[in-house]
Amino acid sequence: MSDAEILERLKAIFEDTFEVDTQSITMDTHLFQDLDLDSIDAVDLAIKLQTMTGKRIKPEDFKSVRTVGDVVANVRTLLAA
Amino acid sequence: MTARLHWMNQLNYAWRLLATGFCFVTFSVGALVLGAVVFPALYLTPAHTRARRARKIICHTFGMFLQLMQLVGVLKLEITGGHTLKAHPGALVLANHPTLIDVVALISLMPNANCVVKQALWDNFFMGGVVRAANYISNDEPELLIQACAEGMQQGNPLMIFPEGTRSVQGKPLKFRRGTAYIAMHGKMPVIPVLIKCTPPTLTKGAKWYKIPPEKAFLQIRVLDPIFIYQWAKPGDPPAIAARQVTKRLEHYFTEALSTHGSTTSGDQATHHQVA
Repeated sequence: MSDAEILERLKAIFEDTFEVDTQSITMDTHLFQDLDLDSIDAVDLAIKLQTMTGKRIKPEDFKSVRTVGDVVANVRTLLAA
Repeated sequence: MTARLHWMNQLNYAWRLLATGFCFVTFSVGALVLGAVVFPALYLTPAHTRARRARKIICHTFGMFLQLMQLVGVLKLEITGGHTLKAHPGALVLANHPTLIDVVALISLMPNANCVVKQALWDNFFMGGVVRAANYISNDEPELLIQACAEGMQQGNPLMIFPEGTRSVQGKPLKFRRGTAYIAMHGKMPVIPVLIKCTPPTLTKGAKWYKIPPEKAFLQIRVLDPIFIYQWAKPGDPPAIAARQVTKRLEHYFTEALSTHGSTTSGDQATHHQVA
C-alpha cells in the first residue's frame, strides 16, 4: 500500500469515526490541534488501525504520534513488519 | 475627602495583600502538615476507610480555610443550592473553573468527593501528600481515568470534574474536554451542574498570588438541579461521535446558564447559606 492509499484509508476512518471534515487534511495536519482529536480518540484510532492492518500496535509507539504523516508512517512500518 | 478615600483604599489594598499572603502560607503549611503528619496517622485505621477519612478531613479543613479567608476579608462567599449536592451522593458534579478558590469551596461542600486532579499535583511538594491520601484520580491515563471514575461512583461517591480540564480563560468561550461525556455515558449517572462566578477575577490561570483584585473577591457558587446528559447521546451513535455531540450541548448549556448567573442574586428566591 502506498502512502497515498494509506492516507485515503485514514481519511475514511477520520470521517466515519470522528465526523471530521477530511477535505483539507494533508500529511502535516496535526491530529490534536487541527482535527481536535483527544487522547481517547487516539486510542480509538489505534484500534481501527489494528483492524485495518491486522497487526498489533504497541501503545508506546503510538504515543508519539502527532500529525497525519506520523500515523501514515506508523501504518507503513506496521505493514512492512 | 477624596484624598481620604484614596488613602482608605490604599490601606484596604495593603491589608488584603498581606492577608492573601497569610492565607497562601496557611494553605501550603496546612497541606504539608496534613500530608506529613495527619494522613500518615491514618495508617492506624483500616485500609479501606483511609481515603474516605482523608477526604472528610480535607472537606472540613477546606471549609475552615474558607472561613479564614472571609474572616481576614479577602473573600466574600455565596452558595446557592448546596443541599442538592448532599441529596445526590453518586452524582457527577461539573463546574466551570474561573479561580483556584472555587475548587476549595466545592470540596468543602462534599465530605466524600472524588476529584479528577492533574497529574502534576502528585509530585507537588505541598499538595502531593494530600492528593495521594485522598486517592483522587489522576488525569494522566484516559482509559484508566474513565474506569476509575466509574468505579468510584458505583460506591456512591460524588465525582467532581472541571470539564475544561484547566482553569477557565476569561473572555474566551468555554471549551470542554470530551472525557466528561465519556464518563457520563459510561456511568449513566445524574450530572449536577455548578455555576461559578468570581468578581473581580482573582487567582486565574497563570496569575501570581500577589496580583490581588482591586476590591475583595466575591465568589458566587450556584448548584443547579441534576440533568441527565447521557440521554443527550443519540442511540446507536459510535461513542466518539456521541461524546462530541454531548460535549457540544454541555458547552452550550453552561454558556447559557453562566450568562445569567450572578446577575439575579438580589431578588433570588433560593436559599443562601455560608459554608459552616
